Amino acid sequence: MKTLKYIIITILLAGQVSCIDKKFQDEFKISITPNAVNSVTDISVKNSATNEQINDVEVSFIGAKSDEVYTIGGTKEFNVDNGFISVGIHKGEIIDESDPIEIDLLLKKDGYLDKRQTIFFNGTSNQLIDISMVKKSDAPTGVKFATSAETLTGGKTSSEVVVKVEADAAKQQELVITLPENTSFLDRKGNTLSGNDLIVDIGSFDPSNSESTDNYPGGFLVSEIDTPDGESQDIAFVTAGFTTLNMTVGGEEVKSFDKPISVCMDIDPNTINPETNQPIQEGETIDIWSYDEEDAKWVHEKTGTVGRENGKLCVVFETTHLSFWNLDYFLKYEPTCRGYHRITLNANETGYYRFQLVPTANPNQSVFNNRFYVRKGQSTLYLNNAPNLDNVILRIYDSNNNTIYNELTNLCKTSLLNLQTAIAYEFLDVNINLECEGVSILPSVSIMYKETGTNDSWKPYAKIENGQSPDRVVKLDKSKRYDFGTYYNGWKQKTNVELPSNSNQFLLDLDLDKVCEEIKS
Amino acid sequence: MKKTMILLICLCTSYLFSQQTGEKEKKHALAVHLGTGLGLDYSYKINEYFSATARYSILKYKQEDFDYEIDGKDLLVDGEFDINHIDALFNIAPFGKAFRFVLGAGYFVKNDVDVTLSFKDEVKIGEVVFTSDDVGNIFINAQWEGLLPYAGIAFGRAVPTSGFGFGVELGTYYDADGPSMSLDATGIIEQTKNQEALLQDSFKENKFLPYLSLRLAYSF
Repeated sequence: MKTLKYIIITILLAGQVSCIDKKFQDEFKISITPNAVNSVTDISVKNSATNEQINDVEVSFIGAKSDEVYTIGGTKEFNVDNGFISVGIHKGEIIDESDPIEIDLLLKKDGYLDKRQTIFFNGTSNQLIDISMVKKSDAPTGVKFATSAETLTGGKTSSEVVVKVEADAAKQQELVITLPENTSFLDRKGNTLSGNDLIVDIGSFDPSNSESTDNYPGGFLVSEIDTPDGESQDIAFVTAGFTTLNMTVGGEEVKSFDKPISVCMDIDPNTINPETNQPIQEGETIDIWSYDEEDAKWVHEKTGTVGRENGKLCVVFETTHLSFWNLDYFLKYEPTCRGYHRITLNANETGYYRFQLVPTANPNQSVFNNRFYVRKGQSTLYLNNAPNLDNVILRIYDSNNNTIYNELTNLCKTSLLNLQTAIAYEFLDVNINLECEGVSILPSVSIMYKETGTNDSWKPYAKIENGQSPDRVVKLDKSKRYDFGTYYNGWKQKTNVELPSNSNQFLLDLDLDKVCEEIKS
Repeated sequence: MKKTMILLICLCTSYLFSQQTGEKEKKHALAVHLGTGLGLDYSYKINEYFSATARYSILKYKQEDFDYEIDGKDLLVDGEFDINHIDALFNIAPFGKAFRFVLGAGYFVKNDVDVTLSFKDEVKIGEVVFTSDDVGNIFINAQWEGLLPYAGIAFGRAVPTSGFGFGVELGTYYDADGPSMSLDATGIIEQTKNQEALLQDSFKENKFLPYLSLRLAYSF
């Protein structure tokens, strides 16, 4: 009976298949879209002072689902190539848009301060995150470091040690730490360090400068933090200055002391107390926080009182351990925007738009700073971590970094934004298809661009999705020269193009086969 | 001419013989058939050369996991037939014997051929492994619906002369437009569905739908 079945099936199939045009067998291709990850996120890493792209950065991800982070090519080799890396979440991981995956990115590089930043992966692939790292020997405006080498006796200070970050034209606030005589130094495990070579390395960050505040550890939005009133709350810090304190004894990292050391932080007299909306006054209090680097959490340590030293406002406090320390007010908000919140965007041009929220109390710090790729026409923006705050200003910058919006706005209460850039660009069309020959692989890659000779971030010019020519491109300024490149597990090709003055089309000669070679390898 | 004369004489002799013996001629037959379908039919004998048949046939069959290669990739194929048709046929026995031509039409109430293709092996992009399930499937559906003309040849009388009779029939339905093809795909091979036009174009010459059956009939 089984044989009969096969005979029947064979005759049926033979009847069907024999009539199939050879064309089908020759031309039919199974097309694979090799998207190993979802929620592709581009990360641009730059020197905070010079804006130059940084290489050779040690990249790691921390968090419950950090194992699900892969490069755009599906590898775990997180190499920052010319200041750029593209990552995403493993394709098999289901991302709930209303509860995005939250993972901390930790960047380390010799000579630079470590940088830790939270990334939200919500399933959409349109975010570009700018991360600046502070090079200690070339700090940005508003940031200054001081290093001092001291000799210990029997592992203890033989006299009082004072180390100071002096104020100057680029750095307005002073920082002074004082170690009392006979201070012993302990490591992370609480063991007393026995060496006699003490290196004190301290840094001070002004609150009145965005290059400085961009390096605030972990960002100004903090979730579920224990506030001084005992509540676990989502807050936005408003900083009055922060500092980093590091020491080594005999090359071993110091974590704490057997005696408290004194820290004196100058306060910018223009600092606005958000509780009074007036400049900070002598005698007022401000909260003092330290950063627990292991848990990546700010911890409320104590409340300081604003005093006056040498005619300048300052807060003096004692501590027995080292970390980042900050003097911060905080704004509480309801966590309504921690899930995704949708905003309809009407844009008159395709491009990368930077959304920045700054508190009215300190417009030099961003509590939200993200770039999003927005297509011309109507689109939807998903917000993962915008604070539900009324006293913040929304600033939107277009692809050319022009401010196109600057108003008091609570993003969580906003459902529509019009992004109208000045029509200062010429339309330049591009026709790029990418289908890897030999095997039917239809990759998704971005054609990136930046203005030649500048330290701009690389930004997507056009997105090839599943091998298809992009339907939108960013408009470019004909008067400028641009670098173009493709990134897929590293830069595969770069080229420099001078736009034609007499045509709206130009030849973009990128060797996209290198992307195919990377995929096939 | 000579052969035709002999044939006509034989036919007339046979007719006269049956009239003379007075034996009642069996003009009706019920039959079951099995082949590219399982079904029943009823036949009515008009005379020695002509008869009419009404036939209902159904085929539901599924075959899973047979190997196939497309575009250099090893695939597993699941095939499923769900065919259901009613035929009105006219039998012509030119020699008044078992051999006959069958002409008519079939109305296809349902005629789906579903083919599902899946990757036999996993696919790796970087270190990310896509299992066969992750890769997704390609779904192909072919449909012949409506009224289709039919032609075939058969051995075995539509209405056996006495009692039981056995027969075999081979034929084909004809669809001038070919089947209606549809293609869908999921997972990382979803873009394959863009080739539906190629599939439709390639199958448009596939105008014949074969029919084969073994038949057991009883006349009365």
